[in-house]
Amino acid sequence: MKIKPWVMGLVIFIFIFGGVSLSAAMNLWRTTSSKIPAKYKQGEFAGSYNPADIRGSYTFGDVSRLFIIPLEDLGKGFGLNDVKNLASVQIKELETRYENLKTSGVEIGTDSVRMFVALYKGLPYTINDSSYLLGPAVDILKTQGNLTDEQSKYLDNHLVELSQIKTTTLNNNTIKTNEQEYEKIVKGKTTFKEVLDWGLYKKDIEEVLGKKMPNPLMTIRDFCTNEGMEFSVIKKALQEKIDNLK
Amino acid sequence: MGKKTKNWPRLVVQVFFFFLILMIAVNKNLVESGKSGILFLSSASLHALCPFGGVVSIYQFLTVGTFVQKIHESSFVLMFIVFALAILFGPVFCGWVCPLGSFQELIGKIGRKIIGKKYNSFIPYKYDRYLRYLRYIILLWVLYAIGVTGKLLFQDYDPYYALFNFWTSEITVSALVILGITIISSLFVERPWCKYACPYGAVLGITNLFRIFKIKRESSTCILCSACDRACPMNISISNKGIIRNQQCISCLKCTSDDACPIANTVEFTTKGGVVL
Repeated sequence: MKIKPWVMGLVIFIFIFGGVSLSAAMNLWRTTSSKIPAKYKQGEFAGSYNPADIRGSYTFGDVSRLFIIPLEDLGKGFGLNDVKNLASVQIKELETRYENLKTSGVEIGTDSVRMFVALYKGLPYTINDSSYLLGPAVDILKTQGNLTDEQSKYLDNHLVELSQIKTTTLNNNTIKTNEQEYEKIVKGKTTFKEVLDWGLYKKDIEEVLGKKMPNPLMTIRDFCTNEGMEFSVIKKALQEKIDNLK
Repeated sequence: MGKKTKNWPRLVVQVFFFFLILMIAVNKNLVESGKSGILFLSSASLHALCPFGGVVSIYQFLTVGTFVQKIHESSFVLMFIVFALAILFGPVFCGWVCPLGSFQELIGKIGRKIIGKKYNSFIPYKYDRYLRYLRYIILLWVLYAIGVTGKLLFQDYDPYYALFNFWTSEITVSALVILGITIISSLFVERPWCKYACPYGAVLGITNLFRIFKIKRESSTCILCSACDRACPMNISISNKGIIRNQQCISCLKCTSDDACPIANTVEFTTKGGVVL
């Protein structure tokens, strides 16, 4: 059997539009999210909505309704207390709000909401190593008491303190940046990222620590506590290096 | 000599799908900005209409039961349709439907006018033969990165998405740079993105090994004029083969007796039998 070009053209149209029409007739053709997440198919939570299927197009209202989480907790957890009508804000807008974090390889976005919802409800969820949460969200999860020791430890190393980041507000589609002036003084809540931002090189920090620098978003005090180091000693050494930069 | 008929049906299909995708992309932006969209036209995102979105979602769908970020059921439907077409006819999606492929061809026509005979023969064969496998490395990287993160990371480098959304804030600088490189290199090389970088072309290219309808050359009537070789946008050598199984073939039918080949029934798109459809 030989195929002529005009037959080929016709076959392509028939396959594509026929296939799409058939799938539409079978209710399989969906180009947008149905706002109904997939459910767990097996195990203890079979039949429950799976947070892994939360989409960026969902609003915080959708998440609150589907997973029965108070909107207030979602707002507080994701630093959206200043946002009016939170229920109508789409999850994907978090990426815009916290876009400044992307430069350090950290993203607060849809993945963060998925993780928050799963841990809030104690649902099974495979945590992605690049998933981060804001400090208030971690506090809420710890209060909920559904965290395992492993999850709790993970969150301690993957949290971003709200007070230490620049945010982009979401009001009326206009982007305004809250610039914060930082004093270049190492404090208890100072992260390695801030020290890097102030101009210190990673090798300088590691020279002071005598070890590899951890995740840049970890606070220096937490690192010292975990490693059994004296915070005041490390703080002094880092501060000297920072002062020498001026 | 056979009667020459240019492959106008392919041009019709290419123009149709290029403008369909362009209008859908424009419509989506109109609808999102609160304006009334174009009547009877979908306002779906291009991710939802990309069959490669289905391919990159397979792993997540099988393991978690969900789709990769921004991908929906429609991508899966299109993936199956394109696979069915490819098993029968090879990568006709690349040669006839893909708007980025058509766009590169359009730029290539300008390049051919400027450069003349040297067009599409700039890269020496000794390098080119290895570079053609680059797209498989890119495919593996895309599948791995998306499988691990569950995010559509390829969007940040995808010239196809950039071409139809360059006016939106969704497009990254890297995607625009790659689109720019693709456009400029299309002036010298035909379909550079398809040849060296397209991960979806890499997937579909595999079907050339076992597709039902094949490009076949009848050596008993062939006059070895090499018109088929010169016509092939993917630089495949046809005049010394019986059946074309090259993974780069895009089933454009430019080499056949319906287009470049001057002898009737010599280079044909056919199964084993000879009934003409």
